[in-house]
Amino acid sequence: MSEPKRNIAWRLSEIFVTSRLTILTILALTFFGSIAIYLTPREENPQIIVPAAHISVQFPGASALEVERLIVTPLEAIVSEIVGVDHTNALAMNSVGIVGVSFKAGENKEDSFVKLYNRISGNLDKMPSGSSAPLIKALDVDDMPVVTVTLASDTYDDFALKQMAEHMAERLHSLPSVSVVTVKGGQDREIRINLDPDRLAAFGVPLTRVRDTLAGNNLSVPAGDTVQEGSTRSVFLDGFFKDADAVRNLVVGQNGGRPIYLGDVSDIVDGPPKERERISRFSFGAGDARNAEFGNLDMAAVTLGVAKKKGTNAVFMADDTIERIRRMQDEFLPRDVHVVVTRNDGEKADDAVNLLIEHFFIAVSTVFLVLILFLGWKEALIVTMTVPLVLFVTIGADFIHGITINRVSLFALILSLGLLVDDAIVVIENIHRRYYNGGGEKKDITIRACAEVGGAANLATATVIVVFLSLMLVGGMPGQYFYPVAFNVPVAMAASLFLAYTVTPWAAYRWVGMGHREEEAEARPGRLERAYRWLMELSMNRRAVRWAIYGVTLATLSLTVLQPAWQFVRPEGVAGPKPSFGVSTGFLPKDNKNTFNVSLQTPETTPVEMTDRLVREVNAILVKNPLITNTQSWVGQSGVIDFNALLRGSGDRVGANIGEIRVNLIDKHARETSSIELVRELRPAVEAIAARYPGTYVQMVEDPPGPAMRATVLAEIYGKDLDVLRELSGRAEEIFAATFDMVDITTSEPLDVVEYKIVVDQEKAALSGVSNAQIAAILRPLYAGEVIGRIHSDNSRHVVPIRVRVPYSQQPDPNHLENIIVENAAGQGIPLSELVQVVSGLRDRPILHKDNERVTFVGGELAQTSQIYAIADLDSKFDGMEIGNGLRLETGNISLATAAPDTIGKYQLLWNGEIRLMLDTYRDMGMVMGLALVFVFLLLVGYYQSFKIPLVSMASVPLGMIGVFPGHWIMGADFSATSMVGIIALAGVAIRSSLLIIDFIRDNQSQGMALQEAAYQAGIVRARPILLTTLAVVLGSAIMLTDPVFGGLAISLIFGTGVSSALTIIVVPVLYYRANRGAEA
Amino acid sequence: MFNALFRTALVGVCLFALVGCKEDPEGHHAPEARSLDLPVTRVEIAAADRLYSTPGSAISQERIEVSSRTTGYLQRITVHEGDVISKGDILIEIDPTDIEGAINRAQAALSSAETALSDAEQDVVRLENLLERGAVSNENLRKATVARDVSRARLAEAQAALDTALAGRRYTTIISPIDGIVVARQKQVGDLATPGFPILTIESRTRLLFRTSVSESHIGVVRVGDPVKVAIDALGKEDVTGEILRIIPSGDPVTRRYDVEIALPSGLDVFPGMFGRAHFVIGSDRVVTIPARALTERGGLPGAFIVGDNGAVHFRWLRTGRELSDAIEVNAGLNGGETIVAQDDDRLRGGDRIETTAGATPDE
Repeated sequence: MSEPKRNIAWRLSEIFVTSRLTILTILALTFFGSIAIYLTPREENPQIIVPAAHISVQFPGASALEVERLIVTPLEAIVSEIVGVDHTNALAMNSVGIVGVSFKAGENKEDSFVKLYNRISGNLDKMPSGSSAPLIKALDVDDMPVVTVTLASDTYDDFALKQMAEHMAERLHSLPSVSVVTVKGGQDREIRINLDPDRLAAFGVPLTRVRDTLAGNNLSVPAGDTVQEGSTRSVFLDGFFKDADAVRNLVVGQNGGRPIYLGDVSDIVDGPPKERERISRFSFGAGDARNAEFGNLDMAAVTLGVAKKKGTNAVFMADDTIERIRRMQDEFLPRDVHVVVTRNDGEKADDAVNLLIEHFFIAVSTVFLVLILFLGWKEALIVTMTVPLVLFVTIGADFIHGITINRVSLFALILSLGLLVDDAIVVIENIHRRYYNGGGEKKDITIRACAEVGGAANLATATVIVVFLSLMLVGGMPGQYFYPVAFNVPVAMAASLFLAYTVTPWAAYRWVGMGHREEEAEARPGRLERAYRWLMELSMNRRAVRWAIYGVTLATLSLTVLQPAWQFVRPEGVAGPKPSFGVSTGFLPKDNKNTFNVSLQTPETTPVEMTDRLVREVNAILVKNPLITNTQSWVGQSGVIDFNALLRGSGDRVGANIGEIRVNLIDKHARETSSIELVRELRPAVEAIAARYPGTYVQMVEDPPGPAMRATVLAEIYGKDLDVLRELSGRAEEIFAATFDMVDITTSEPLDVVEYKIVVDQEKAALSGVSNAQIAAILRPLYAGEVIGRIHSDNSRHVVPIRVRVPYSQQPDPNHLENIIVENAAGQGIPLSELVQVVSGLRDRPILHKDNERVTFVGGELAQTSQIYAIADLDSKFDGMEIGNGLRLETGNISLATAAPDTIGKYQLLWNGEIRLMLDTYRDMGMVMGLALVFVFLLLVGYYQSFKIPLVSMASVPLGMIGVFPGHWIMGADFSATSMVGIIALAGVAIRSSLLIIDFIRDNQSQGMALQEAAYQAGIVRARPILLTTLAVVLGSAIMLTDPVFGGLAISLIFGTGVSSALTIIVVPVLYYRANRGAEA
Repeated sequence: MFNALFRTALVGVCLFALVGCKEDPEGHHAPEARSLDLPVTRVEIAAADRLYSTPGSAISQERIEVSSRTTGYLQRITVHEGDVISKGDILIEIDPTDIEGAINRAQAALSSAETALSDAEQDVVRLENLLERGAVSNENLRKATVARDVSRARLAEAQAALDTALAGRRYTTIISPIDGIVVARQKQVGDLATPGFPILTIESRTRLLFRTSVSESHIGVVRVGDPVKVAIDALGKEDVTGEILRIIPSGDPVTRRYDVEIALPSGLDVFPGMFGRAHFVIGSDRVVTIPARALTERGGLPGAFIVGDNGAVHFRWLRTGRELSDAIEVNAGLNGGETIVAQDDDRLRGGDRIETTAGATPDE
């Protein structure tokens, strides 16, 4: 072998081989890495930043169409002018318009909001008169509670519970990592004036006077200073209402000189409202021991949600928070209040991270065992020693770069484990070989050994780095999700290479003796080797055999590609169950979680009591399941917001028809059934109940492992005419319902709500001296209730509003307003019924916009199959659908490029939801991989100064693909986005293997061996290290197979690498021989 | 080597197997359902009258303001506010001195007139005898006859004056014209009673009316003679049935209301002025109702316990509406036909069982 170049490997190993610096480096890395592991914030999944905000504008009394034209359309246009805005959504309802804006994933949050505020405030003059100023509410991930604690009790009501929770909340703010603390559920104190219209009428006190008296008497003002007895004193009008008695004793009229008190004409109640619009409850499920005692109880509950400050560690924050809450529980909570931690993202993250670190070390141990067999224990130990160091470097880099320790970043380490050890293996192997051969000073040999493999190792590592770095180009939410892979693998690879040139020679120099090699693989031409030589000779020299090998390889490749594709082209159509040998293609599989959500939406006309009944019935089924520890029921509002709800935009829904049950399960380690299976099992029973409530939408929402979308399959139907859109929505809903495996179908078209329109008879009203404003002032307290001022008390934690309202039992039928008296300027009372006509009509239907066009949404989820087939099936049904007037529906947005809505002279259905995300991801990843391969090719061309050799070396990539789909089929898994990442990783491994073979062939040639012999010998010699690398990759990744999300990655990698390695040993030398035969001759 | 490899693979497989070994737990059962013996009932869909309620007050049909016919100082008032009186009771005595003086004067005038008459009659008898004898002229007799007739008329006048003076004595004592109650006493003993100014106000208790005002849009459904339920707050929950007595056919042009008077049944413990509501029936609805006693409250929510399969109960939140006589209208939460626990019991919890002894049987 010739004198190796003085490359980086030479220089590094020369410095480090005997230096104390090596020990220092090891110690420093260990120290730094340990601190980083401890301090780096932990998360379950990487945080995906999608800056989003809601802008709402009140425009009292304006019809939905008016709001659409005057508020929503201009606002949407203004907002979509901002650079970085991805989509706008808008909702125009009677009296209010809401525009939702979502920025592109990864846009800087603060910058985005500044741009938004800027844009809105610069256009305030375009708002019509009579509308309120736009209220901008940012949807901030950092405000989302990471810990929720529910206080539940059978004996205390939710008013008392809320007070306790608020008391606790105050004590949490002093924790430095705690950000927003919210108390959801429960009720606040208010002074409620229950008016009885009949009693008012009997006393001759008009409602307007009650209002005016309340508003005009709740007053305190400083009146200035005066000097008395030589000193300055201040004068103060003290007229605030301080308690309910003050309100009760308010004089609202008089009769024959006797005062009529407010207490005479109404019931004044101090306390929580009796007539509820929303409630929250808590139940123990059969999975909790407390079920045995409290199982049947219907417990009032409030939930304390604690968010963490940006950049703090959720694990510490959660521990501190819960510790404080436990102490407070012992300190002042009554014994019959249950305190249950219903969400702990810190613990969840910690569990996930610790489990993965554990898995990482299991993988390392497995690899270590393999290494012992191949290299001997000393060498194995040296190689394995570098692994924790790489981990330390990588996590240290994460810490500095601001990446959290999460599942994705750790999976990145596990997946690169095989490649990490490879650098050290290559170096130690060569040192070993050199030591055995002897000849010279030990230090010199060590350095030379490093330098010899340096070139190839550098190249191979650079290839892998390039391949993984290219993942950074994936855009959108998936890009953010996979960012830790794109960052960690290159860092780990670079670190492993550095350590292979520094720590490995140092350790080898110290601990590995000279000339100790015991077994020599090359020395025994076994049966396998003879078979290999025979095959090689046949294929190198006989065209038929060679072409047979090529043919079989290509045929296998095409067949495996058919596995996912067959369902599209099969004669019975794309719908229906997947073929028995097929592999489904999905986006990201669902994960086994410890919680899921049942979201219920009854028709818009449903009173809250009815929604409550549905929620109770569903809950009764859920709590009987032994895997469910507890459930939180929310009626009239959605539950505590989580990441999923934030991205889906369903986090802050309020309304009598909204119900939600948050179901918490026993820990996934303690059960066999996954949350996915459990949901599948429970769904029929829940749907059976919901079927008894016509028009009800049920969604059983599992938290997706990655980005959440509004729905898996989302049809956005764009058009101009609202009636046509509504009709299309109905038809779409039917088609969805008839689609195989489609569940949780929702539409954005609400039910018509009957509205009493109260029309004032202007002549009569004018003759009686009554204005519309007076009538309006009466109607609001009647039906909505109205807050008129507040109690000014020093010891109340909250604003205590004074609310005037008519109790349900006294609420008059709008058709019978005889007893509602309105007072004219002369003080005469006139029955309202004499001044108005009541016309029954329908409430304005809300108008939805997306990206400046009118739209209606129909969404659905798939219970177990992949959405891509459902979409293909649906698209064929929708495309060209007759709409009437000769118009046909056009569909779009399922090609690789995104389509913008277009309603000019047509109606359009654009597919969105997870399918869009999936297409974008696959497109980006495909492009990224292509780009990476081009880069690798250029790199190799530069290195080899040849165009052929890089092509030969890259032939191993498609070979790897052969294993991917059958691998998924064998494991019964869907091909997913993580599988795609696996393929990218596979490309790196495969190129690396073939590069090492080619490098050896060239090396052999340079030592004067004939091309054919050189190729053959290289195959034999490299078979062992390739097998070793393959085993390291396979066994290292095998631990990931059990993970529902990253299983796909492991499958791609394991099966791909297996097949690719086996074929590379045969195909690459043959190809190289054929390609360079001419040159040699 | 490949043997060793195989062994390694085995180790790896075992490691994964360790991770995968899990079983679903049994679960904890909810506490055993208790059995309670409580009456149940079926939720009815009943016709409920659509009522138009108007507030009003009880009034007395007879209300008398007692005043004196004569002028005089009040010597005695025998009653006070709130006293129950019967017809014929002496209420007021007025100082009679003036009246007695007038009587004496009249009696004196009468005896003077009687004396003058007898003198005139004797003159006539004497002149007739003289005329027979021709001692006087016819003219003299004629004059004496006239003087006698005048005296006779004077006597009658004096007699009438005496009668009048004697009648005045009757007015100094005022007696009650009706059975009733004293509601006001405007003057005190010693005050001067003058005609036209009331001294006492008394009201009849036998005949009470309820006066209310009905808006223009409903005056059409109100007919004289129709029975009307009247709820007087002071009587508690019990409604009384009255009869429309009269409609005062003159409305207020601004407030658009007409006064209606309803005759209340007699024998009620109602005082005039008490507040109440008249419920006019203006239509009929079919509504879901539950007995008032079935309504309960759990966790701050009003509702009722529904008896489901096998007698197991569960709570249901209800939106209650009007309170009917002994039932409560349910606006949301029940459809009718459900079986509910008819009487609330604090021990009752969701999941308990009901062993029925009374009322309807639970649904299966």
